Amino acid sequence: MQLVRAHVLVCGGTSCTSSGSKQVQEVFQKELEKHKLEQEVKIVETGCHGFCEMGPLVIIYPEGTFYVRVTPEDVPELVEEHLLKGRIVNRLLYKAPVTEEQIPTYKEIAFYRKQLRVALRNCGSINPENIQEYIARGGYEGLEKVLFEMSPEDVIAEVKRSGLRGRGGGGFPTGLKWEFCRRSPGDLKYLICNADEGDPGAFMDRSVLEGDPHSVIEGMTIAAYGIGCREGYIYVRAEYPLAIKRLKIAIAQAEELGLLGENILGSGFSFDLHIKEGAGAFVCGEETALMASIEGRRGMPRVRPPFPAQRGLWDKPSNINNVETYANVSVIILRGADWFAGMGTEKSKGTKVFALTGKINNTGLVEVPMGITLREIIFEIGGGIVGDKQFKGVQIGGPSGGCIPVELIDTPIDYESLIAAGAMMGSGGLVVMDETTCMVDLARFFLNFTQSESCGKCTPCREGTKRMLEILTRICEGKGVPEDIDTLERLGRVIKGTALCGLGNTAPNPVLSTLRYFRHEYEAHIMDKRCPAHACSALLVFTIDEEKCIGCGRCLKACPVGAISGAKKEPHKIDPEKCIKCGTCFEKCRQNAILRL
Amino acid sequence: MCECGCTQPAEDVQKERELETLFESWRGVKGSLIPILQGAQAIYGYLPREVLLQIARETGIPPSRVFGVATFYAQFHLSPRGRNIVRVCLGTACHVRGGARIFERVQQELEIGNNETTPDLRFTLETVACLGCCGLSPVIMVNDDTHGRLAPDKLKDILVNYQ
Amino acid sequence: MYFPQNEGKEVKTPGFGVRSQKNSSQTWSIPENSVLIEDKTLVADVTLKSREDLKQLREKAKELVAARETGRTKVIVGMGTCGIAAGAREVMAAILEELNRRNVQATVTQTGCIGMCEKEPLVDVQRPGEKRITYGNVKPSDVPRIITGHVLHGHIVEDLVVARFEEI
Repeated sequence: MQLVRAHVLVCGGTSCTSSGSKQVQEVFQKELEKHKLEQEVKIVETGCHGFCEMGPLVIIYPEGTFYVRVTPEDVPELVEEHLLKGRIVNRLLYKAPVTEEQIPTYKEIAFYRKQLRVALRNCGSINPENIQEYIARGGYEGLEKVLFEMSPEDVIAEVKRSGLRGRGGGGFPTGLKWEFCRRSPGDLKYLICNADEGDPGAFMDRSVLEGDPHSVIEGMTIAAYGIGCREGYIYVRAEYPLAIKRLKIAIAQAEELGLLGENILGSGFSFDLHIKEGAGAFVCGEETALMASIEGRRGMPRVRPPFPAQRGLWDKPSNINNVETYANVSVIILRGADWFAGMGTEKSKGTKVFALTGKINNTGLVEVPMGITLREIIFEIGGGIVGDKQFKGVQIGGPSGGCIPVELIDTPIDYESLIAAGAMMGSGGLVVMDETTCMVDLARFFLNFTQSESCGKCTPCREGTKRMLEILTRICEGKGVPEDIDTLERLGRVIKGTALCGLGNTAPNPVLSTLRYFRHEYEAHIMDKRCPAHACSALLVFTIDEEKCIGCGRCLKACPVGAISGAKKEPHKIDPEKCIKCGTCFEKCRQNAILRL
Repeated sequence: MCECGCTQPAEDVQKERELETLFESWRGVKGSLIPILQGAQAIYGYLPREVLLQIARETGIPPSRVFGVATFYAQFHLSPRGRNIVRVCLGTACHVRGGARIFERVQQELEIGNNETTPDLRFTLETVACLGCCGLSPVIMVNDDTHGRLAPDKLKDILVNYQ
Repeated sequence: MYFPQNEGKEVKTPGFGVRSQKNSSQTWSIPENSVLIEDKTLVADVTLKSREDLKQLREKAKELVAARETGRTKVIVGMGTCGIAAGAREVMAAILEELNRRNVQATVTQTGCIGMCEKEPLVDVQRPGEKRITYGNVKPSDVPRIITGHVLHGHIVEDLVVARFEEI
């Protein structure tokens, strides 16, 4: 076989051919013959490179030099300069529009600038279905350190010192929880991971399980060693099939390597991990209900005490934490409690993951140090409000949380400040609202959710939320009476103080916090029968401004119920009796003659 | 067993075998009722009364408890469902971006309400609290396909693709 | 090592079917002679019996990951639920098809959610020894430009770029 010293690749795709690549090829052949290079240089016709707007394309190997928009007139120069003298013809080179350095790094774009990724450290950068990538990035190093350098008491002391608190909403100190369970009498203890993330608008745990399942498995194994558990369960919502699949793969890989199972790394410590799929009940996010569900019963909560640390799953002492909490554990062990405690505020250490959604430009998942303000999250990371609408407030903590108004936007995010503001950390849903969101309607939305998810075991929650929902629905329909506000407040306080579990205790929060900050909206609905955000359709009135109406008939034709009448080129009228307030005429009118009040 | 005495279709025999295998794989495992119900629903598409009674017999759990669990969780269905499941997200993000209007229009298009099935078994309509893709809100999901950034007018064209 | 991904010529990824067990998996097939390479060979099948075993494996994994990164271009698709909902599966299929059609050698792999839901589907390209570049809002029709421009010739497709990773 004959050796050639260079290849000239000429694109023979349709587009390049039509811009003259055939001629380029022919001239190349002639020029090579002229310089007696035809034995040394081979011309190859290639398929389309997809760079058609830059054609005809010529690539010369071995250098791989990429020439664009080559005309037959350019060819003699290319042959002489590049192939004979080895000099690159700069004027024909493809100029890359950007170089690596011109592209901002993740740290430099606004969305990431203020973020600090601890629990999400590997999410989006490793392949979650390959344990080797996790190990290559220091995975299972924390477990290794724990098994060979630390006693179980050391582990608990370290986690206590780090100041880590439960990320599932309650904010109970994690190390303390572990210690209670460790001190409970009994040989058989269970470790549970709560991955029943049910809050609408929250998907932090799902992202961790899908993106970095080993961080949860490692965190759980460390906790099991600290507490003295032999067996563990991860309770995942069935609505997260991808998370379940990735977890199953991760567990199988860890078992195969001997990082789960009998005698891990020859240390004598053994730990088995199982997955339990939930079956669609929000209340199972409550720890005692979750354990009932693992046992195969209706997921209903029970009275505490006894706490799970004393008597939990199958009546054995059990420890339960959520996904994000466990995902923090191995980093704390590896980098030390002091490092972790160096982030955040005095009482809330470390970082928190939030799902940022609603009327915001950059929706997504963010992890920020505790103590950052809502303003920073919404306007710097989130890029502000969609369109040029007015920011009204932010709902934090889902159905258990509350609304924080624009006046309190500089509230630092930590467990205590949020509770003081009438909201709570919750699991981390952050829904941003603008002027078009009606706060009464939003409260009704959340109550509708908690009401339908109430398990029905205790009266305050079962009956109380139902009554509150009825009142709120009435208000949204314009049938509210002045006493309703007091009744809502009274009912809310009673439910908060008497319900059996966290679902009931927190169910009134969305109502109470909107009553606290947006009482005027409730009053407008009740007294003036008016929805300031124009969101409650029952309270809207559509009329036509006769000055502006030109009688074009667009609204008349569009009205689905024939409520609009009027002669051509004469001002039209809306019959309020017939109007169903669908808003179609408002959208169709080009003269802005339809008024929405 | 078939009550009318006719010969069983091969499909039913196959399903019964699968159910047997399911019982075997969970025999003696504690807390197995929910996984068994999930498995049975995967076989039959819903949970027929006879199957629930069979589960009670096989597991030794009283039928009242089996029914109690099956009716408690939203995942379980006690009546047949349509060929296409339409799930309208009414999560918070979808709510503030107009999910309710989408839901209204879907109901109009399909002429059924929440948790109902069309008489021809073509569609079952459900709502969910969050599909977890809030960046695309408002969202509906038909079977495994997600349709995001919706407007009510787009729905007709989407639904027509599912037979 | 347990890699359930490419049994046969199919890759199965569950959709995120809610409450549905029956229809929860969707299948797409990889074109013949696919270039999809899973890193099966990185570490031999072992059971770790001691701390030293794990240390050794970690070093080996690090070396192999580094070697791989200088050896072969990687294309990484964000395949979390949000990415899939936004169309990552179609993009993944288009990438495999395009690589296959052009007979380009590259490692195609997946990753979880990085947080920028608004910009899904996200695709990362990392050429040997170069920075890992993220593209956002990628449509199947953008794939040829990314493959020919960046994977093949190293030209970053400017209008789709989101950011680059700092460390390798």
